[in-house]
Amino acid sequence: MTPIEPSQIHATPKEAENPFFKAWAQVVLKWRAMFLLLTFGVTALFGYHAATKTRIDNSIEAFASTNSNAQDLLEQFRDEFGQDGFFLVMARGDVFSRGFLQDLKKLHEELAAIDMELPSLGERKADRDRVKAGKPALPESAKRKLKEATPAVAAVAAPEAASATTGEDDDFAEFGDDESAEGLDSFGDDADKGWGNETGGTIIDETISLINVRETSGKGGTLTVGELMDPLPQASELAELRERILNSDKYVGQVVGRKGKHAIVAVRTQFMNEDDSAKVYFEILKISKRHEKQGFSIGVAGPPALGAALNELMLSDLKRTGLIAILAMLCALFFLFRHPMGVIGPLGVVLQAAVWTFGAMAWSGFNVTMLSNILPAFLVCVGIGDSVHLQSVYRDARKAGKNNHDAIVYSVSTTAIPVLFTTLTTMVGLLSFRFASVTAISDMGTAGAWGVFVALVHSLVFLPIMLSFNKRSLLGAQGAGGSDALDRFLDVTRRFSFDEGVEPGAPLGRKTPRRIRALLLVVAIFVLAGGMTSMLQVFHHPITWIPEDRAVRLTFEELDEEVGGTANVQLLFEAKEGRTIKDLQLLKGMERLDAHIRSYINPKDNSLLVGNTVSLLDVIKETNQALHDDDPKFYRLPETDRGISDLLFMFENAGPEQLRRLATNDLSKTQMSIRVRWVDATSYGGFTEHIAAGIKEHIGDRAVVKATGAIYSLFSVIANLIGDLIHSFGVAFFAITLMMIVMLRDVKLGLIAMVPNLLPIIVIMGGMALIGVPIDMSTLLIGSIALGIAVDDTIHLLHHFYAHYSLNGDVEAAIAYTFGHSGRAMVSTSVILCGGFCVYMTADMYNIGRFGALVAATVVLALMIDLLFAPALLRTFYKDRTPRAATGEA
Amino acid sequence: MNFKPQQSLGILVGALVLSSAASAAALSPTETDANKIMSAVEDRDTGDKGTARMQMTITDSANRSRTRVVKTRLMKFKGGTKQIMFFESPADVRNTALLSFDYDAGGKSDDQWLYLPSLRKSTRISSSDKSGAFMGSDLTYADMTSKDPKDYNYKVVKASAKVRGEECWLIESKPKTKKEIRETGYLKSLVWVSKSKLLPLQTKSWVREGRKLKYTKFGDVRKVDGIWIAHRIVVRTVRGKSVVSTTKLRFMNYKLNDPDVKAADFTQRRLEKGL
Repeated sequence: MTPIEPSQIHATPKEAENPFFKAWAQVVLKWRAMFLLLTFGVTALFGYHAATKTRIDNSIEAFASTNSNAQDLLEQFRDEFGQDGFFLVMARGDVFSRGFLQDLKKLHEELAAIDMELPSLGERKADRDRVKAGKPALPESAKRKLKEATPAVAAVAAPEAASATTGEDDDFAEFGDDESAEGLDSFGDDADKGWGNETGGTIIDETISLINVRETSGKGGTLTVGELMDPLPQASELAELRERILNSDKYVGQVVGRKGKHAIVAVRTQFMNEDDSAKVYFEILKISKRHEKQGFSIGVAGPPALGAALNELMLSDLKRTGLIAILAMLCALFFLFRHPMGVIGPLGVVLQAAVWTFGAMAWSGFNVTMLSNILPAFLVCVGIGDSVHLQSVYRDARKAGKNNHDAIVYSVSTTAIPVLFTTLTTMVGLLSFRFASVTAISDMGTAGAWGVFVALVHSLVFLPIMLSFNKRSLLGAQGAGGSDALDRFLDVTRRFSFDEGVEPGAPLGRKTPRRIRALLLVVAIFVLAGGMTSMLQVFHHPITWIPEDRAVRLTFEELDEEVGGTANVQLLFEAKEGRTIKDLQLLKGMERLDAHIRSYINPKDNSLLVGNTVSLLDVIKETNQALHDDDPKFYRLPETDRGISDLLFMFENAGPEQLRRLATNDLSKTQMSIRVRWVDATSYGGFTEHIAAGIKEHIGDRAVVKATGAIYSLFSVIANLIGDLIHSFGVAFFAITLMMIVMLRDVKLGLIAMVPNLLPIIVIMGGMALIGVPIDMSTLLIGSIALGIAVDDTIHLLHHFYAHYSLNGDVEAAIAYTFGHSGRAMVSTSVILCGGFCVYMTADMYNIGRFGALVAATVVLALMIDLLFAPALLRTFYKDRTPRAATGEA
Repeated sequence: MNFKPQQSLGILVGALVLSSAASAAALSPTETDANKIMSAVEDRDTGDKGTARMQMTITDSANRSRTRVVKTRLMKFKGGTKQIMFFESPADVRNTALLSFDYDAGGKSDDQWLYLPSLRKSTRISSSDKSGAFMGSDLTYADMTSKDPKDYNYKVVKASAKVRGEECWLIESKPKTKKEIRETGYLKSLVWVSKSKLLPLQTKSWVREGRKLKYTKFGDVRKVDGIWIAHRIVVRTVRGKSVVSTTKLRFMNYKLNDPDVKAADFTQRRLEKGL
């Protein structure tokens, strides 16, 4: 048997037309004006939603795993103590100089006075998520009715007082018992509604710096709770002040760096959504810029700044990658079809697919995250893939002499099934992310699947309509019988496992046939790459997504290095039922726990991880010291429960706001804030275990302690990343295998198909392990996405092989036909996909760039494996037989 | 907050509101001059001394409540007001006591002494921040300190407004200086002043920091010794659509011009020994 020559490959398609899609195409063309109007109408609707309701969220919580309770605990913490994330404005210079402190004071005052109109002021992300999940917007704690204060407590101590609450003035209309701000009816229309147009307020809840940090002193028999620098110290006092401040844990790591070269202004805002938080971030940057001068440079960091900076980078990347992807697509389409008519349809398909996708996301409340960044270019790739396959067949049909209408109907009716199959498999690849524990990944999967489906719909509606306006162009069709470099390339790949004179499926002779050698090579690659995947590492460190030269990253790193950390751990202590935290033994346990936590050494860099802690202990100890004439010996806990109670009473009287930030109103709960350096999330694993051990050892059953905060959210990702990968990829693999079997209607072929589908991914994963690219939030996506894409080529290849083989029973002829029918389109779409994903390499965000490079490599590998090894598999597992038509099987 | 509510609150916390029916009668219900109205409210005879018991319940956003009962005495002196409070319940604050001197002169900080049983001595407390909350409640120290009406601009927003069926003036009060705003924490207040009692029945105040709103209602207004007194106050702090916290005050056993109240009651010695 001899291989089929290239001239034979370009046979006029003879494939059966699918009656459903034939009718579909005819209907679409008949009512093209109506379909066109409908398409544009829906596009306008989705466009409106995308433009007005899109919300970007790159906060740490957006990437937290739902498998962990870190987020729930964080919300509990916020229920009790409010916003936990601070903007950290860092001023560099000689902190203990009069000029610096004057500048710091001005900066502090301007930051504290930020006032902006923010639509989402007071809005909790948790509330939005609750609404999205179909639950009531208010947290459980707030849903309870605000009842009359229980008179029981007072009744015991003061019967007379209790009796006074028994309704002698029931007619006094209070605020109602609802939990919201409603119930203010008696203020009627007279009062401005809500805040109204009043100016001069500030959206900032708290601003803490050296200027106003709490200073409790007990000089001259008077306990003073005031602000550290009210008034600003004189030049002559600065040396002594520097000595005192830099030797105090209370200040270092909170408002000043270890060396006295950095001062921090911590700015806490009210709750707001990410868009508004970004506005505050830019306002802070603007103010900072205004205050910068020689010897007083400023950087801004902190969790809200990170989210806003990532949003900014993401938007810039989104615009650039989207634009470049479209330009690349235009070039590729023009190169392939050589006529504007070959460009307009696919362009409309991908643009509308993108609009429908982002519109649907906005409509359904899905946030756009750093991961959604990949969607536009991804949809461009997928949409163009569908269009290229359809237009290629259309072009061949036109070349074969069909009129425009028939060529369109023919191309739709013969291409729709494989295009539908490829769409379904890509959707399955993306929908497998529904099983990921990170909401951002899960949402991206759902939105992507919708986008792929929408691209199919447009390919089967919008594209045929656009082609119907083409009256003359053959879209760059070549003359019959001609062959080019691509044909020659396809011929080489097709012959890779071809053995001259050996029948497909024939028994092995003495010399190992090429097809067997090719398969052995497959096995070798499989084993080698598979073995290497065990060396894959996990990694999650959002700051490293940002380029090294960006100010926000530099500030984070400087704060970690010089000040002691920008990430937080929050410990929530809940006294036993009916008790309060005014328990000396509990507080002593907290004191030991504090020391235990501070002592943790990060094994990766052999240095302390904790920069500082803040808790009720500080307040009690410093008040105790102040009450004893500032004698440092009394910087300790008192010796009785009553002593604790008195000190807290004293402090509450002097600094009630500060006490409220550290303990609940009824003193049943308190918190400890631990400031930690921001490192790779894997490093937090040991630390969280260290904390858990400390809680067990030092607190025991005296209180319930819940640990939460940014590092727990980060670590929850690491702890679940590999599980998510295995889970989503496993689901995608098995679902796609089943689909391949169903689509190809042949179990053997379906299973064979999975070899070229799986091999590129194993090779890429092995390669990642080899060169040290870790599994992170973005690379996690590669397996399933690449599987969804790789399957496309395999489906086109095997679908046409099976169609031809079923009719003719000739393996080699079927392979040749397949290469002729789909080879060019496979190479074209792979080149476009590869180019499309390479566009990501222009992204500023490193993780996106890495993702693009890896998927591009996977696409090339998938194509090469399909072209080189799929024929070897087919030649091994299929043999020539009598044509079905001859035996009556057709 | 403008002077009137603070004055009322301050006096009420001290269990003394000594407004006179005569001054109320001196003002026509059709009066439209806000300064005159507020001056009339300010000029009421507020008496010299008195006693009361107060129950204060603070409820936070998570619906957790804490109730304290305080026995209090108050006496005016030349240049200010002295007040002494003894905490009766709950048990962990029993016998704790607070003595404060509130000076009328704006520039002078208040004096406070706190007696803590575990230390068996009183300690003087100094805090310059009057916008801070009183004992963790929704009331600030500024709410309880009388203010000079000359520091405020007043405007009648509505000459006739009803609160629980009672005819009121609705008056807007704005501090004239940034210093006053900083010290009190309020940008502006609306005050509903009862025309018949010359007492505020409710207020709404704009809190500068954190853009919070504070709503106050004065209820159970009854005459004690011929003087209108609100026996109940509810203050609710709201941010956006969320309640931050609510403080309810109830006053009992009012005695006005109580002859038992003497200057010697307002000393550190009395603070440490109890009444």
